[in-house]
Order: sequence, then C-alpha cells, then structure tokens
Amino acid sequence: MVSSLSHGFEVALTWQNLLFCLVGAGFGTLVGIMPGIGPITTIAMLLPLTFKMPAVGAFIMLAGIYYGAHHSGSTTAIMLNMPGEPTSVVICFDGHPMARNGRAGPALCIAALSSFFAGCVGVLVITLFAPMLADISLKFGPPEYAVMMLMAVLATATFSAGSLLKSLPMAVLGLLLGTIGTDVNSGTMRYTFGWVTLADGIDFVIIAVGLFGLAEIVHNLAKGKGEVRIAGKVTGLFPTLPDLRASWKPMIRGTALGSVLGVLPGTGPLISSFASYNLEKKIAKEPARFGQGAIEGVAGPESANNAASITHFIPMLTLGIPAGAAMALMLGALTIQGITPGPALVSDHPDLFWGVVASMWLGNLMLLVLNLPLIGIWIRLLAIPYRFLFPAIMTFCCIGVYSLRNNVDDVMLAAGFGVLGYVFVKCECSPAPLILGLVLGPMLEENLRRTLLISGGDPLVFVTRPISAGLLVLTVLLIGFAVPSFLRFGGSRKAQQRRTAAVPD
Amino acid sequence: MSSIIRDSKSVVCGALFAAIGAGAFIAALSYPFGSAQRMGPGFFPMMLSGLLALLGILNILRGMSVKTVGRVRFGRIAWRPLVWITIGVLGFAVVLPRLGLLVSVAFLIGCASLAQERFRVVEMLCIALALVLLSTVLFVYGLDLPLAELLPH
Repeated sequence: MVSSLSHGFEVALTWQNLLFCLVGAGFGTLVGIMPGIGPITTIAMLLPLTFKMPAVGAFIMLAGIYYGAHHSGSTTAIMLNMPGEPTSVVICFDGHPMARNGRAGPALCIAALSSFFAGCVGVLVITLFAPMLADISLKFGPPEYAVMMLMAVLATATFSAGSLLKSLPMAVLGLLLGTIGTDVNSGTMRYTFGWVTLADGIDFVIIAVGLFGLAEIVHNLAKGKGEVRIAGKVTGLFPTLPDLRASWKPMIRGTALGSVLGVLPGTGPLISSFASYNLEKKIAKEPARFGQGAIEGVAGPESANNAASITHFIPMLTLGIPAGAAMALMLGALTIQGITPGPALVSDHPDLFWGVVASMWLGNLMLLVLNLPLIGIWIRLLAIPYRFLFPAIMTFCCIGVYSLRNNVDDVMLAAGFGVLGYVFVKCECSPAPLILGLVLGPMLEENLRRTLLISGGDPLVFVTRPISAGLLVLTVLLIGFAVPSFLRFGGSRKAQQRRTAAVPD
Repeated sequence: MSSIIRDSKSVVCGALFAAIGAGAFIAALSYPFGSAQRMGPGFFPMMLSGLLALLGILNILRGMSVKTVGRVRFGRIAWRPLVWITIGVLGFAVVLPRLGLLVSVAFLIGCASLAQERFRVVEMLCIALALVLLSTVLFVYGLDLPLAELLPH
C-alpha cells in the first residue's frame, strides 16, 4: 500500500498533473466563493474540454474543482452570511456572527485548518479502505450491482432538497430518459420517434448543462441582485489559544462523521455538515452559545463537509457507483475516456487511482495556501457582477455541447432541457436524482436483465443472496432513518428554498 | 378552482410527471415486453413510465389535499430571462452551421443582454468581443474545431 501511494505521488508530482491540480483547486475555490455558479455546473460545462485531455489529468482537475468548491464555500458564509455552496449554509450560523464581532480572521483560519485536517484524514481513509472495498466488491454479481445502483438512486432522492414525493419521480424520470435510444440487446429504437439524433440516446452532458447550467442562469436572473455587504475587514488572522483548544475536538468529531457519511450513496457533504452542527450543539456545555459565534459551530461542520467531499469519491472509484450528481458526471467523463470505474479500476489503472488519491492530498495542501493569504483577492472577486459571468457560462455551455458530436441538434436539446429545468426549479424539484437516474439507468437495466436471466425470472433472488439482501436492508434503513431526521436537518423553509435554488449535490 | 388547488407547485409538477409517464407508457406498449426471465426492451420503460405517472398523480392529489397547511403559490414566472436565454441557445444552434462561430457567439451575447433588466451596450460589446476571442482560442486551438467554422460560409 505504501508503494502504491508513493507511485501515486510520482504520478501526481509531474508538472502537468500539478498544474491540473492547481487549476482545478483554484477554479473550485473561485466557483465555491461565487454564488450563482456551483461545482456541478462547472464540471458539466468543462466536461467536453476534458475529452481532449489525458484521463489522469482531466480527473485530477475535475476532482480539484469539486473539493475546492466545498473548501471555500465557507469564506462567503463567514464574511457575507451568504453560502457560496449549499453545504456551507451551516457555517453561516456561527461563522457570520464571529465576523460581525470582529473575529472574521480566526473564523476563516479555523475553517481552513479544519478543512485541511479533514482532507488529510479523508485521503487516508481512501488509501486504506478503497482497495479493501474493491476486493469485497469482486464478489458482487448482477443482483448486487442492481441493488447498489438502486440504493444510490433512492438515497440521492431521499437526501435531495425538497420532498421525497418530488425527488422520487425525478429519479424515475432520469431512469426513463436513460432508456432513450437504441436498446443494446434487441436493437429496438426506444423513444426516438424517428429522429436520428436520438438513436444513441441523449448525452448526459446535454441534460446536465440544460438542467444545471441554463436553468440556473434563468433562475439567477429572475432573482435579481442582492446587496453584498462585507462584514468588517480581516485583520488578525490567527486564532487564539482558547480558540484552538475549543476547536480540536469538534474537528476530529466532524472529520469522523463526514468520512462515514460521505461514503454512503446519496448523502455527502450537505448532510454531514448539518449533522456535525447538530452534534456539536447537542454535546456542548453551553448550547446557548451556538448562533452567537461559537467556534465549534465552524470547526465541526467544516471538517465534516470536507471529509465527506473526499470520501464521496470512494463508491464511484471502487464500485463504479456514483454517490451523487457530481460523481455521476465524473463517472460519465471517465467512461468516455474509455475507463470503466469499478472494482477493476484499482488494479487495471493504478496510475489513475493512486495518482488521483495523491493529488487530492496535494490539492488540500494547495487549498490551505490559497484560501488564507489570498482571501482579500477572493473577496474582491465577489464584486464581479453576475452580468459578466453568465454570458460566459452560456457561451461555454453552447460550444461545449456542440463539440460533443459536432451536432447542433444537441444544443437545441440542451435549450429544451433548460426550459424544463426552470420548471423544475419553480416547482422545487431537485435535478440531482434525475442525473443519477440518467447515468445509472442503462447499467441498472442491464444488471436487472442479467439477474432475471440467471434466476429464471425469480425476483426473490435479491433476498436469497446474502450480500444483496444485506444491501437491501441497508437501503431500507437508510431511507427509513433519513425521512424523519431530514425534516430536522432541513432547517427553516428559507434555508430549504436556498438549497433548492442553489445546486444541491 | 383556486380553492381546490392548495399547493400549485405540487400540482404543476405532478401534472408534468403524469403526462410524461402516461405518454411514455403508451409509447412503450409498442415495444416487445418479453417475459419475467427475458426482459424485453419494453419491460423497463413500461415499469418506469407507469411508476412516473403514479407518482405524478400522487403529487397532484397532495397538491389538492385538505391537509396542506396554507397556500403555496407557483410564483412569478420570469418570462424575460427564460425566453431570451432559450432563444439565444436555439439561435446559436441555428446560426452556427450557417454563419460560423463568431456570428453565433455574438448572437448569443445579444440575447443574453436582452435577458437582463437593464444593460449597457458598450459593456455587452466588450463582453462579446472578449468571449469571441476566448472561444476562438479555447475551442479552435484547444479542441481543434475546424477553422472554416469560424466565419460565414
């Protein structure tokens, strides 16, 4: 394992990959700080570009964008009471009061340190557990894969913003959209209505760009601009000794919570940060301090957030099952590069796997450096009005979609999904389950087909096989546990709406 | 009518889901269903579309349910950004093969500016110029889009 990791560092420390890491982490920081554009939109927008890049570098960059955005969302939460990323909503509760009391510096510093600590532990978790998981999953057959994929889709629907009654049909719609095109087994054209463009199905990038990119632009323009008021200047950056003493235990607790919750399909950084906040508040000696500027309310959730964003990669890298919408997009990106994520990834493509793991640690180090000293610059970038940003986003989206197949029909489809996406935003239906259903649909159907073939049409096969039955129980527990507690984590209706409007994971 | 509908958002998305589900189900009837052991191409789509239609109806029912507290309105539809962004992207698709990348990006930015409440012409011209240059560099040299695509034929 040590030799694998050192090989990974060899891969990650080439000039080219270091550059990709820096670009990704930097871009992610930018995107995490700026409201109005999130990591999923960015990844969807840049996907067409990555097809021309080497696979390892492309993935390093996309991964950097993802965890970079989660790292930096707390900056605006603290300074402006505005979460740059939905996962940073919790940081507003105690981070902003700290800034208002003139303690912005320590808050930002503790947030950055917590993130770095959590990132290191997260990378360690991947290093230790991913190969183990890959070995276990070699015992997986079609029934196990089918159940796992179903679990991923259902869990994402359960933990998405908005009610389950709206998220479930989104997931089903995604699965249905995945059936469009030529059925591989029979050659039947499904839902193509004679239109040749649809013969190969609708590329997930088109739908992602429409639902996440274009719809978000319309929604942001509709909302109009808000007042951007910065809470005080950032003077003393260093936290005091009592700060550090109060923070180290929440950091560890948050990291542990985030590492575990991030692996489970459907959860991820959002739930982790809320869970950590609730935990810290519950075990604090003086819970009344929370909401007024308790540093535990920053250290814990920030660690949970970042740890989860790293371990979020594990199911996708080891099993080929994306744990959320962002991972689904990256799964798609890898597939197009000719790499099939799954148990074989660790052994077939050790360069990619260990290189990415090593670069995650390097990326976290870069972020520690980027976030603190350059805070002044990042804050000033917030002043860039949205009206400069969104035309650029639109242009990249259009050209990117066109470049998929040099087909303008794809761009028109994206426009259609943009309109649909806006309807979904207005109805408070989260698009994340749809993307998951879309990406996993074909594989789910294939595994289901094989399962039924092997079992002779007997659906009980899912319960008679031990691993499959265990996964089913886990799915039921996950959803059963989550539904009532999500009502608690959901926070105020305003927070829920903010999360639905921003791009949920 | 408005007193029956308590939660407009649920009713609207429910109707959408039900409509798509029903349509997809009817279309899937023409694909071979197969048997339990050998799933045909129609198996999965029929199950999914049926489920979708059912969930859509449930949403409509919930939207009309007496138990819903208060009234949830659909809210104002932002027609201006919606229409202009859509026209922009569709127009891009129509213009690109006929008049090349430069004109289509310019058209896109034009529509983008119309999507806003207020815009300054000089600003938008600068943005258009910058984006045209940037996309040329990025996509023609980066992605090897054929150079002939740049200019009108």
